[in-house]
Amino acid sequence: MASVVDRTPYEAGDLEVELRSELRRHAADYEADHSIVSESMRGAPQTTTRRRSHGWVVLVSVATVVVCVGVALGVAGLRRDDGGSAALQPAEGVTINNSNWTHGMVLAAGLNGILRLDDSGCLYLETNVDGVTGRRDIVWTKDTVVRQDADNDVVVVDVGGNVIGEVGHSVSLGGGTEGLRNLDVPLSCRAASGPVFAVEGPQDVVSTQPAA
Amino acid sequence: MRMRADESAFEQLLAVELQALGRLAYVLTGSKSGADDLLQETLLKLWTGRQRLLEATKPHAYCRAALVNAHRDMQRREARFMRNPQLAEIDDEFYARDPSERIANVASLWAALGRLPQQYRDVLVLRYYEDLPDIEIAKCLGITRVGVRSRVHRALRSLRTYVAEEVGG
Repeated sequence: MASVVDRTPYEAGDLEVELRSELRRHAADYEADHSIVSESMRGAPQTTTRRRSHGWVVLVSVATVVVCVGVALGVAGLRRDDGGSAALQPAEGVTINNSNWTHGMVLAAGLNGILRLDDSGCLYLETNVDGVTGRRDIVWTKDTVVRQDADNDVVVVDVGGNVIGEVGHSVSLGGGTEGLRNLDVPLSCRAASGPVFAVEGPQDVVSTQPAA
Repeated sequence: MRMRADESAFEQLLAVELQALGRLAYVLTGSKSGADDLLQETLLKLWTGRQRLLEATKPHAYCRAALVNAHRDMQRREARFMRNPQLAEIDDEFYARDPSERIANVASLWAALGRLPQQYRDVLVLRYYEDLPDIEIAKCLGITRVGVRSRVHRALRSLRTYVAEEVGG
């Protein structure tokens, strides 16, 4: 290794030569994992591949479809009385953490557990590893909210209005263990130090029955 | 059908570029974990805007610019984060658990390089690792050629100071 310990101070030009050599030497240590390419393609938000010059056509078309679907869903929603997400009320006193990330930005690991509320009204995930239960603080994507359903159960609702979890039920969360360095948001709900689990990808209800 | 074609073309392109991009990410960030994060963020952006990448006449230059831009964005996010003392405290607890992820504090040029501000490190890496001429560095960083020369000069001056400090303890 070309340590500078025995070579300082540098003469003019020596530093640049040494720098070039040192950068190459270190770069050679890095081996990229090719699976990262397919992971990125799966995890990135889907976008149109049309050329920009036709973008306004796509935009107008999509806006028209969205308005039509919205009107249709609105009419259908007014007619139905099935206690769906429209019946959800704000969950008073219940707090969750939200990142400034949107759903589907990154796919990584999965985490299973049971949604629990602590005494402060903080929603967390109770994990079970080899029979040992633990608490994992969760940071949800930015538009995720908590609501109370018609039975006064606290549920987690995604940006599409879908119930993706309920307190006391098992859930499976896509995302990854994350230091707070990348989240860039203050956490209102946090009991333990150390990494949190940042939800980034799919959020699936594993069981609609209360866990034991 | 179009999606499949894009996936195939993207994978073929990255099969060629990935290793070079990864190594560039490594010398920009100074750590394996930092390089992995930067590479993944860059690939997400490249895939999202893949049409422009697949039509680029110089795909390597396009990927390199995307990586450098992503590095700058990550550094800005980190700078905002570090201004929040509450988060900084917690984060230190977390990162202190894995000292192998940190740049070793040894008396070396590499350690001194790790102390440089991001914009200085970027310009030195592009010149002395990628061996780019000033005009290409200017395009990549979105500054003028005069700005490149000025930034390189200041970066080398800072690096020399840091090396002296590292050696002097």
